[in-house]
Amino acid sequence: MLKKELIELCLLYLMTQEDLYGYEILRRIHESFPDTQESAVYALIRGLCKNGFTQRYDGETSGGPKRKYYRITPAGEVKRDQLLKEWRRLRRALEDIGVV
Amino acid sequence: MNQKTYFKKFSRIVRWTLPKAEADETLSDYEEILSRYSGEKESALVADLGDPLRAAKQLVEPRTYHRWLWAFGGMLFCLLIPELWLIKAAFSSPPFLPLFLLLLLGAGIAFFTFLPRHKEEKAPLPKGLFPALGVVLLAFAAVLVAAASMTGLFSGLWTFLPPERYGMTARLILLLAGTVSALFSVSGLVLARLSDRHWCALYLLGATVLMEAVLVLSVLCSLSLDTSVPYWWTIHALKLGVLGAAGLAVTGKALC
Repeated sequence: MLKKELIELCLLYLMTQEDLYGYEILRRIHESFPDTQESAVYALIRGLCKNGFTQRYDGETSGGPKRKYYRITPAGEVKRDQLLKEWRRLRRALEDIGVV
Repeated sequence: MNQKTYFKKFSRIVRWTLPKAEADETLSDYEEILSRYSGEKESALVADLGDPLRAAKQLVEPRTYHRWLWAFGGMLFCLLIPELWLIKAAFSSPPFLPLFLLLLLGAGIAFFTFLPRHKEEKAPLPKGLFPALGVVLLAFAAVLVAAASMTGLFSGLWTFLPPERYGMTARLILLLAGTVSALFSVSGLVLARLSDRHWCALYLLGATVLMEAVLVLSVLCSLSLDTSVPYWWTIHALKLGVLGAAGLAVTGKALC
């Protein structure tokens, strides 16, 4: 599992908990992966959206411009579960070897 | 680099590399993301987001981008061939059919590339489109005057010139009108991608005028031209009319 997929898993997991807008997602991911450029994370968000794993919609705000939110789709939930399974398998393999 | 220049550079690259709907969504997200980089935070902008070219490149899907480059190349090809014919001015017979097919091909690719697949809300036409179309229509008028002078309709126009200069002057007018139209056409194509799809009307009108200029020049240069036959020019006028009408029709469709 590459770092890219790990971040995708985090993105999908964050969106499982609540719908988030672009900047908020970037901020949260940047806290955990400070060495990853935000534009790279944003490209992953767009990639998930293009592949139908997330959906973008206009959120309601009181006054001001409408904020664009991202939410996870049923296909995204399947993808999240697959990535999580893969991550657990890798972690078990690392534990078996004694790396962690 | 400040927030404003970053966004300007980024949006130009994104509009060129991504399809319109995707570019719109990306830019509205980036507007929000960039809004927090005000004042002192601006210095961290490139470090956090990467330079605009790199940031935009990460969003590009190679297959979609290559498809656009092929379409762009195809539309340029439909201008380049007539422009080369116009510059070379070596014709054995008027190339009506190739020109007509090139116009249809250019229009087909332009419609496939720029016309919305779904019904969209009626938006006002972009500022500057009508003046640009006006300039190309002026070039069109110059081509038509050159065409009409073949028939002797505007022969009075040329009397201030020595007769041996008639041909050279007509060629120069056609070359100038055709090339200016081709340049406007290319800019229409670029603006249709970067700003508003309606600019493809400028591409189509420019291509039409260029092709009309080639057709008129080819008739003037034609070795098989028999001007002793009465109304010899009607068949050529008809071909010019068909090409012009087709060009104006596709331009009108692009404006809708």
